[in-house]
Amino acid sequence: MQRVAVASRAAALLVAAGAAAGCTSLAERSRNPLHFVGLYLQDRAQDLLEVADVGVTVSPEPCFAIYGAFASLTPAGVAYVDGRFFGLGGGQFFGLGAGTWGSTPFYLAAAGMLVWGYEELGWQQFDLKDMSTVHCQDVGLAGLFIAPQGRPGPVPS
Amino acid sequence: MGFVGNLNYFEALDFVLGFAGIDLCGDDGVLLGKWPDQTYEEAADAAFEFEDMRRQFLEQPRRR
Repeated sequence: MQRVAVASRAAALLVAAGAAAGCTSLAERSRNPLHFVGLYLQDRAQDLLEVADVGVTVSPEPCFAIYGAFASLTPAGVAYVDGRFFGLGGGQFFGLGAGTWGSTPFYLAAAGMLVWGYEELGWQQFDLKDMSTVHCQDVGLAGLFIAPQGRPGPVPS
Repeated sequence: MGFVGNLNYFEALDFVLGFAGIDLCGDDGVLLGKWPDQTYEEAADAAFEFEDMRRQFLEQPRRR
């Protein structure tokens, strides 16, 4: 009986999350059942590759970055990096998943003062003159009360 | 050369809920996601407006 109660609560939570966030667009994108399965697995792989960012950045021009934030709540430091990223992150792994091999273009501009911070993050294909291709977000406690900017980034992170 | 280490908590939840067909981050099949209360068209429009605001901020004359 208790298992049924737990299962029904979990189902209610899933329905609520789905209603709040939206369901996957698989049905619109897939052409046939086999394609549906393929896209489903591709989406899960892509989501898995977006869970963490771990790697090394290299830039042709000198850049500077000392920046950190715990759960997007305590941003501190400054960062400006416009180069290439080697590793796991942004939905790719050494270029796999981004249509390249070895590395992927990477951009980070961020500043944080503990209570408030701002981050711009670009992965794979982005144009710094077109903010619709870059993640932009306010972070820190103050960021919770500021209206969302541009395209959302991975928050909290 | 620099080092990057980051954990995306929301994306982890998105990965788990994705198995149930829920796209929490709105990023299934697209490179960039959207805020939960937006459509993709609204997200693109909001980004365009933000770009204009950002450009005005960056191009404002410096104080002497």
